Amino acid sequence: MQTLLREYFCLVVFFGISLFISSFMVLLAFLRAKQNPYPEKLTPYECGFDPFDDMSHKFDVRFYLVAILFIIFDIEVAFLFPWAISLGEIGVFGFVSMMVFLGILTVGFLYEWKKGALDWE
Amino acid sequence: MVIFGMMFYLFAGLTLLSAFLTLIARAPVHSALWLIFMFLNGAGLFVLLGSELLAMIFVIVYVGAVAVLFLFVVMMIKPQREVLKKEIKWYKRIPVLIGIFFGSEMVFILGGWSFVPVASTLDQLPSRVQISNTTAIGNILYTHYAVLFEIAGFILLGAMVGAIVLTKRAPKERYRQKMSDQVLEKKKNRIKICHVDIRKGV
Repeated sequence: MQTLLREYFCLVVFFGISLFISSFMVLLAFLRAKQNPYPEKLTPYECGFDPFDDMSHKFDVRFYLVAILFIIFDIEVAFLFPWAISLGEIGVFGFVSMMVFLGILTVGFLYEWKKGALDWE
Repeated sequence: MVIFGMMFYLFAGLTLLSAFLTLIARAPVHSALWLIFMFLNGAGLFVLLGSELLAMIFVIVYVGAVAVLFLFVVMMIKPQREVLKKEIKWYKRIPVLIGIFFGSEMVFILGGWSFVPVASTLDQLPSRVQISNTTAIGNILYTHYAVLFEIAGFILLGAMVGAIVLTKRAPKERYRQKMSDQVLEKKKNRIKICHVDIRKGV
């Protein structure tokens, strides 16, 4: 337990330093820079969108579909990491169980491919 | 050990604070962003518990994917403020009732809380000197818990099929290259050679 936390201590130091540097730079810009805001300057600019419009209905539901499909394959890959580490320990059974898992998800992948969920109409 | 305690209270405090800010933020997008911060602090708590793999998966899956999903959902909801104001009086009572219920439950639980004397010996984490956390999970997940693992695969399959069925519309023409059609296309179908007389046109 102690060794684990010692290994992570450098991460804490890293986060502390980066927090300090980033907040210091923002604070310095806030304190020292000349500030001259006017409405034109403060208008949000976004490429491809009309900024003077209600933005809530412009998103297609297919972005959401892509995000869900991404999550599923994300989790699949996350399962692969411990499997790869302990593949020598778990033997043929562990290998086959992972292959069955990948097979199940490949069925889903073929379904989504054939349904055209990855295409943009 | 002092640093351990400090980090625990830092992460736990930030988790509670960002959960509270998730609830009270006015814009739904800000709520989602505070939720992301809460997930990050939760990952820090997992690291303090010694379960590194869970912490990293928490960051990848929850912060990287689920939070993005929340942001999409928030952006797709149309804020109908006029309708909301009318109905909000009625809706307000239900969370208050649920809050009173769970709050009293928490009071009862915390009132009668005491550690079992053997609690410290029941720590199931393997010693880090012998084996790392990720290896320990890998050694049992794919063999001892193989059935649960395959069930997880089926649940993911169900989620995939469900998402496609719910969002799929009637197939229109798709912008897709058909390699075989391109290769098999005959020259005479595409190119027409005209002998144009001078000053007459086609």
